[in-house]
Amino acid sequence: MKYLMPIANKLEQQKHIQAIKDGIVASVPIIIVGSFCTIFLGIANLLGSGPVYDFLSANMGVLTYASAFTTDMLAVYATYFIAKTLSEKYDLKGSQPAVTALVVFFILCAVVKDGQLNTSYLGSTGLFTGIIAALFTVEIYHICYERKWYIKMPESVPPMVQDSFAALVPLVLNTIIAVAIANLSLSFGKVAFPQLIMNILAPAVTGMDTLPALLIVMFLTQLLWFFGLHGPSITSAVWATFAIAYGAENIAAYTAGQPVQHIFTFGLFYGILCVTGSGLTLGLNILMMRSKAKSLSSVGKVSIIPSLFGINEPLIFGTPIILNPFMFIPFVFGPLICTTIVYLTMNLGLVGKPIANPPGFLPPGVSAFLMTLDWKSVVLVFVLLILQTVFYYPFFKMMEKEELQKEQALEK
Amino acid sequence: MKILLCCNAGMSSSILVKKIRDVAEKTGEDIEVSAVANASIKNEVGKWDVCLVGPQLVFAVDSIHQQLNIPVASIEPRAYAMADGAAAIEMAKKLLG
Repeated sequence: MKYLMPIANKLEQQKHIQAIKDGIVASVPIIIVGSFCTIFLGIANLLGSGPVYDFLSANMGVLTYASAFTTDMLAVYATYFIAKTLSEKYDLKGSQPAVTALVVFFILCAVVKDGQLNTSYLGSTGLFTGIIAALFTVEIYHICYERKWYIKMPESVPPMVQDSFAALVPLVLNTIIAVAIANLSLSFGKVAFPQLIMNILAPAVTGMDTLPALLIVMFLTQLLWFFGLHGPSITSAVWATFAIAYGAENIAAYTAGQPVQHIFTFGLFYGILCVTGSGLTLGLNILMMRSKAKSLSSVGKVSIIPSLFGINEPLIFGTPIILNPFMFIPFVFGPLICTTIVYLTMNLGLVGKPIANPPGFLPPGVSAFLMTLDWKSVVLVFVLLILQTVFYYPFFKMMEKEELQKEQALEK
Repeated sequence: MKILLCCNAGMSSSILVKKIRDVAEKTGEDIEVSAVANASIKNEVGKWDVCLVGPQLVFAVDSIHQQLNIPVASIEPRAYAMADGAAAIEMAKKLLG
């Protein structure tokens, strides 16, 4: 705790990391909308024939129309959100910095060939370039305003007019630099700038979607929760971008009829790995509800409804799980076993990989099904919940025994 | 008194919002309360008297305080878990002195 708090605190105050995290998470609803398109496709694939299949197939062009402008253009929206978040952290007013970030992003990513825009870098492959564009643009704005490098108007000029003139210098500066980078990359690197970035980041991008990386993420998440800190809120600063990019790539691949590659998506983390809340605590919650110890049963009853929707803070703080020696082993290490099972079953093809990103806060199994359109994923979720209950059980019994002794002592 | 509650997604703290309103209704106190996600805290500048943070975001208290410039503290874990509205109101009053 002594070491974790200052790190979490520093990370929270680091403007760029927070802007990336908050901005990228803000664009998740756009992938959720894009996911509806893949769900139509998935239902058609599941059915294979019949009137519903015929109807879906005949109208598939219309039903999946939006995916080209949501998931496949994810980087555009993420760039805007990240730039907007960072500019707010710098107290820069208005939308100018965020819109300038879009200008920079398009210059870098939307390669023009034979008079046509190439949109292939506007989706997940452009995400990292989008982050660079957003941070870079807002930094330039910030520097310009700090050093007062802008065109000043006389006092009597209306503030709106002043603002648009003030935005001119950073806008021009950003545009010049972006044009220079885009063309340098094309002439010297012989590739478009986003491709260059993807080549540089390739080891990280492939490395994050592996079992060891996933286990490290889960371990840190659970450990932070054990110390009472919101695990995903802190660790997602590192993995959210990757997981969201993987998800968008899966959706695009599925829509295009290509094999789906990634396992570690944003939806998978919340819908399967943290189903009913970090630590897969539904079983523990039910054990507590039925407990003879009043302190445990009262917390169990308060927590059960939020738990069903993936919110287990009442349980974590009420039991309490935090700093509870009985809970350390099942809460921190149980989910690692569950994560391994999920990764292996998906990697072996026993359970379908995520092809959509469902909305958050759904009851257990529902988001897994919407995410994979594979009924086996629902079975997997319940197997995990039962297994995790088995992990909790002996430790729960020890904890309950101690609680009962305390309660009896109080009665005397 | 205007109390802002903040947690990671504005979800778990929204449980407490209802409980605070229930208590305020009983005691007849004039209390305005709402829950937001930490990510959108910037939109709340100047709107509230005091901010209570979910204990899971205790590491964000400093950052939230810098942005809102009002008294900010994290809620006692047990009170948060049991959604104890009365304890939360008590705490908000104490913070305001």
